[in-house]
Amino acid sequence: MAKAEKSDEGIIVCREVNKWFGDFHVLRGISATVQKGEVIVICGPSGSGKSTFIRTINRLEEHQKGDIIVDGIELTNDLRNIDAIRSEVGMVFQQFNLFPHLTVKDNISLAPIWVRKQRKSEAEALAMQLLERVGIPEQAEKYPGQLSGGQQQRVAIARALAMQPKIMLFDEPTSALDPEMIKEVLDVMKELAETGMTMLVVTHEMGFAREVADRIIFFDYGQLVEENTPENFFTNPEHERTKLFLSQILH
Amino acid sequence: MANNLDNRSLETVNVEKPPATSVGVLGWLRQNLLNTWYNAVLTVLGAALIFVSVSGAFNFVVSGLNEEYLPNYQLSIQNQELLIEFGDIASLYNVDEVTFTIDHSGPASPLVATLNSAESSVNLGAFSEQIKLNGVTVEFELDERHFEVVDHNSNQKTYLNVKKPELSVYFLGGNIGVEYTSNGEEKALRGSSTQLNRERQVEDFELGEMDEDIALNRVFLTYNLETLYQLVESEGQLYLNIEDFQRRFNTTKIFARIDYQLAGQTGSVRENIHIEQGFSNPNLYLGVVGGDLDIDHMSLEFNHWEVIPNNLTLLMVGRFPRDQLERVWYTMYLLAILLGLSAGVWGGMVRQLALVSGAATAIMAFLPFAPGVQFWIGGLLGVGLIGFALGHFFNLKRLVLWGWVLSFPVIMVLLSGVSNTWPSAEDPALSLVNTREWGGLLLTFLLAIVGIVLSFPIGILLALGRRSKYPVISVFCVLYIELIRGVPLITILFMSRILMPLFFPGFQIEEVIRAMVGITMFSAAYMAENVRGGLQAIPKGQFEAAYAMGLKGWQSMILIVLPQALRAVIPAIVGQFISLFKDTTLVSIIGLLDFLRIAESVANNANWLGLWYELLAFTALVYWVFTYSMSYVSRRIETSLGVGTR
Repeated sequence: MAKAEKSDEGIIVCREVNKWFGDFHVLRGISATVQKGEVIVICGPSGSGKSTFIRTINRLEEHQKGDIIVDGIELTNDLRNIDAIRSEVGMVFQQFNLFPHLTVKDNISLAPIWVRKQRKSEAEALAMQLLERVGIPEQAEKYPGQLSGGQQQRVAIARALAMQPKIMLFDEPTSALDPEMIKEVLDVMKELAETGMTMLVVTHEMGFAREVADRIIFFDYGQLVEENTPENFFTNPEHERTKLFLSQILH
Repeated sequence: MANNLDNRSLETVNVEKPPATSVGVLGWLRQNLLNTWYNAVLTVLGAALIFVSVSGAFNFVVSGLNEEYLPNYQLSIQNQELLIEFGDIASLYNVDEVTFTIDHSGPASPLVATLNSAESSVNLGAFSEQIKLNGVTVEFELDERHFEVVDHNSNQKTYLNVKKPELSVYFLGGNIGVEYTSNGEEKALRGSSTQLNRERQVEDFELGEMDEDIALNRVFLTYNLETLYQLVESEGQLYLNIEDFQRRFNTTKIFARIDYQLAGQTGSVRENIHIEQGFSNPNLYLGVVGGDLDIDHMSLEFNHWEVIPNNLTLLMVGRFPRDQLERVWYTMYLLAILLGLSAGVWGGMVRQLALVSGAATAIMAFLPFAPGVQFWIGGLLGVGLIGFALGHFFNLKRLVLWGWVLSFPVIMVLLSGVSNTWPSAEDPALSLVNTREWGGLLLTFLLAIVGIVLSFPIGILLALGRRSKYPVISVFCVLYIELIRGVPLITILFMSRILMPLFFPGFQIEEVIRAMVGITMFSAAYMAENVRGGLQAIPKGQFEAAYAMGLKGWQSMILIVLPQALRAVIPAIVGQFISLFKDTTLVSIIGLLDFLRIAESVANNANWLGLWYELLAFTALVYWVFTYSMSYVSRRIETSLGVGTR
């Protein structure tokens, strides 16, 4: 596990972030700082706003109040800021969201070609490199529909890595997989953490959290209830709500 | 690792062949048609239905091939005098007497004779070398058995309405004459044969205003009996000349069946006359002059389907100047070579498209065109193959793309011409052809292709615009779509004809261009809704993944969303294209002569009256060939894009 570098301001800084869906207050004054190289696991009951939170970081959701600063760029309505931030932040979804009409290799090389304006040969070489890194180079010419769930999610991770982001967001990456495939995806994510990638992971995989996370954040009702290192989080939960949650999830 | 080996060995143990009735044809039958009792019943009913309809259609096709023409008068010679026997026309029309006026080439012409139902023949006098019948007019009076006087209260006019529907069937080309007194004044009216409406019923024949006092003096019907054959004597030999028949029916193959008695001997003629082969002798030999001739039975048969080869140029290109037809050929050759090149350069789907076009062309080559034309059609295939070879072996992508882009203006120039005086007034290279003279299948194709090619991108833009976050754009798109969908295409075509001169008073926009614009605008609205349906089917996650990777809005639309959306609605889009192809028939409303309209006008042509079935069947077949090709190509496109399977 790489040591997280400490600095005055982290690579992601959130100050009093508030979001409403209509009248429903989904994020209530979230303040958090993520340092470069940190692996943060966000957990909590469903509907607590954890997915919404990480989606605000790359502007898939818009926050109405508060500041979000990613790598020194403030997240406003300015398209240039949004584009700059999006090219530094990669995201992996629960439903994979691979593009079914393109081959695996084209899925991965699409963004480098069209956003970073790389040449096709370069982008495809990069794609093959990434496929080897996630362990499935032989699937390059197949279509997503022909792959298993675990393979698809690994392709999604490779696709997100193709933009060489500084931060990776994971929105419940293994929740749609069956137990045998969860391990292969978690292995990829572990390897990624070891190379020093800054990761925000929303997940229920507590084993992963214990092994890999630098910090665990617990969300409930749109609020950041508790934040601690894994050892302290699991052995010494402070808040009542955290204790209740852990008792149910770690039977 | 150990697990893998076990799996492999499990794989090869206990393998058996499947039972015979579950594979192959028997297996397919059993699984699909005979698996349950109701499926079996349906299969039997379906087979019966197929048998009945195929045999019915076969009968129609075969019987439609030849129809007997039984003349409604007979010529005979008795005691060296020529008699015309008219049959019992008086009883046929339920009148007392019929007056015949016979115009012939002999002396004492015209001969007027009035016959009642007991008499039926008219003596023309001594039969000289060649009595030529120039025309026979039939006239008889109508009374209250045949018509009624009708007041149309709505428009205060009095009409004469012919009652018996059978009456009109026989008097195609006839006139109704009325002499009546109104308000002390004697008036006369004559109707012409064009007063037949589509069902061949006589339309109401107007007499006068209602408040006038009308007293009918005389109502009569006149029509011309066609003189379709003549008796000719030449050097002591008697012949039956059927030139007039051939001219009337404009047919090249006649089969004559005549049974007769000449000077006490029975004779018969069974002859196939092929006029096209240069064997244009329309004289059928009967025998030696020198006795009474009595024709017992005479029928002349001709092939109804001849209406199609005889009018093929008209059906294909309308009124395009016949001396400029090679320009249409140039257009087709240009398209053939572009298609062949594209198939060679890109392969895949484009090659499928080219193959289908090639197959359709090969089918057309077998149709009964003139032999020279068949050769040119075969040439299209050859040129296509050459293009394919070139495209396959050389990298001509740019050239071909430019070729397609330029093909549209080049074809327009080829078909409408440049000037009547360049390079010289006597021999202009591309003389002007008014677009009004485009017609037939040529016009149908032009309208359909322009409509399809233009309405597709416009429809996509409208669909995207409808989803835009800028209210001005989205409201405009919604208004356009809902307004256009709210009116029928005919209305739009009418409006284009009437409104465009209002909006652009100086410009004379050609009818064909107006029709193209109308059709394109109409189809774009429906295309937009089809595409919007496809866009709605794309899960939001696709957009999110695209945005998360940093793709901008339009990039994600073109690269990610539209390919998937369009794939999903290929059936709807192709259905719209097929509808558009058939909707081109509506331009007949604004006076353009498309394929169907020309077929209709051929059926109404005096020469080919009544041959509706053949023309409509041919038209339907041609439309079906092209729409099925579109449908087939779309299925192939879907398969190659893997729609529905991956």
